[in-house]
Amino acid sequence: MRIDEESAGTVLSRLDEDPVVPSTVDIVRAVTDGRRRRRNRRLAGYAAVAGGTAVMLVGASAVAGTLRGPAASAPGSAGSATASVEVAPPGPTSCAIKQLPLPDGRKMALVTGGDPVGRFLLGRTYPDHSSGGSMGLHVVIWDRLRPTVVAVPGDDQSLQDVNSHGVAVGSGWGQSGTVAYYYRDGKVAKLPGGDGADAKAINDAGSVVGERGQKPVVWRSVDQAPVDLALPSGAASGAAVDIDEDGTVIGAVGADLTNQRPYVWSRDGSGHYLVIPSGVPPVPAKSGATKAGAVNTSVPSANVRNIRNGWVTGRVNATPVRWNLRTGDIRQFPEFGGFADGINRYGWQIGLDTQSRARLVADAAPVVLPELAKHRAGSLSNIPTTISDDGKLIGGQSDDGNDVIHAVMWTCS
Amino acid sequence: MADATAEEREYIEYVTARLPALRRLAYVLSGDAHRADDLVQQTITALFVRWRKIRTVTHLDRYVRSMLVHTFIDERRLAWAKVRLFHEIPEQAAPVDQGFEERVVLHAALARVPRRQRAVLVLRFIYDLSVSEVAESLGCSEGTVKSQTSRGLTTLRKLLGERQLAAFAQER
Repeated sequence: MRIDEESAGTVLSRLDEDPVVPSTVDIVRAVTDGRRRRRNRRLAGYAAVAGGTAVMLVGASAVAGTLRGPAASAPGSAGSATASVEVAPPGPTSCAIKQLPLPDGRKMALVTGGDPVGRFLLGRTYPDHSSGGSMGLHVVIWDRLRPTVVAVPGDDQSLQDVNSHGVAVGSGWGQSGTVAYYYRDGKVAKLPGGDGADAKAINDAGSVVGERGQKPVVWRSVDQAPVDLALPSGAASGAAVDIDEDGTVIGAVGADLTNQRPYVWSRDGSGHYLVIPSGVPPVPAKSGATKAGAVNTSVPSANVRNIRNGWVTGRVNATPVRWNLRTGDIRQFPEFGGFADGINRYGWQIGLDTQSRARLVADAAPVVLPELAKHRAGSLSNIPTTISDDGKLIGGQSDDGNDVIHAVMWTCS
Repeated sequence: MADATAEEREYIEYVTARLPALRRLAYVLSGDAHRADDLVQQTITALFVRWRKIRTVTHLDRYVRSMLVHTFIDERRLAWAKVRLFHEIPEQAAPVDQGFEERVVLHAALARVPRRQRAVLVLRFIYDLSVSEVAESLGCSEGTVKSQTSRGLTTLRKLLGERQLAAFAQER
């Protein structure tokens, strides 16, 4: 029995069912929002002119003001496990938002990654939704805000991470699965053994991590074949998601793809499961639903997202958690109601708060990141993706009043 | 809405009637009940904006379905994908039933198929649309639909493994 064109209907139609939770769709809100958008549309002609001016200003002034070259890289970043934890400078207290310039005359774009220094940003641009369907996204790299289109092959392609030397990694969808690519000196090439692989992150030493055949792998450099990261007994699959400057890798492993637990590999290849803190609230049960036999609620679900200077961002059940691998400190961040994503060398995090607003949490008071258009509670209209080590540059996306996604940067001080 | 015009009342009536079907489609595409509602909300908002022009088209249901699928494929690609990482299946508890675990695995596998391919699989195999209907709906060629079908199925095969698939098919 194969899943082919004849049997696919039988197999997949098992998924054709009503969602188990009560509807939260609000028709009155659709009418209210729709009326507002119609008004915005009538003003769109003026907005386009104003937007163009803003972009030019970004290109001219922000380059000198906020972006640094590699020489400004934070010193001593490759600390060992025994190094003392450095004292963080005061965190930013306010941020300003600017649209990133796009290379191809398009409007819709977002940011997928950035380097630790704040020189490079990665992203994608999309063709106009109303005129062209979904084909033809472009991958973009910004070097000191100057955008270049990068020809990453395949469908649904993207660059996910870039180091401070401008070497980026990512993947595209090829004939029979993902293909891992790297970008260096203006050229894109397949990573060795890149077929069926996905590259998620690269550090300044040039080591790349990701997955290959649902197994976690590391490329010690973009010119070397990938090496499997050891799986603990009982685990058959997994993926590596990020690598620190000292070579520490984080990811998840498990018996199958629905039972993955966060895992840490040291530079020497040894590994251990990440400590899951106790006392994290369980995922709230939805009204009208009974407990499913298949879900064992006594084992919390958890994952990890980023590592920087020993700090790890992730989540346990629905609560964002930050681990410090050097000190063993574990802290919950319920103020990030949605999720915490990027983290810098001081453990400052970016993510979405309980009202889905973009937010920076440094050691100072949290900063709500400004947005291009007024945020509607609960909507995903502003998403920060990457934060520089000095905390002054945050890359991400923000919707305008017509729900068009724009690639943006926040400059913070 | 007390202040609604006749045209707006007509919209509200239409959307209210179509809501269950739209939620069902959004749910199978996104694999997550909350994301599904977000998707429906976006679609019906866009529908309202264009309602004056759209309300008289011959195949209104088909048109709205197509809008929803496009919204799914294009706009929130990354945003949703990222949120999915943190609200992964099975977050919400579901009523106990025999096929639940299998559907969780199937949902998880389908969620790993690239969005456009996933949309093609859903429209062709769950909604029983022909290759040409899917092509029209997605605004691409029939050749593209065929190749996306084959690639989507290849991915599912890889993710699920043949034995598991055989078990799914037998339970029906």
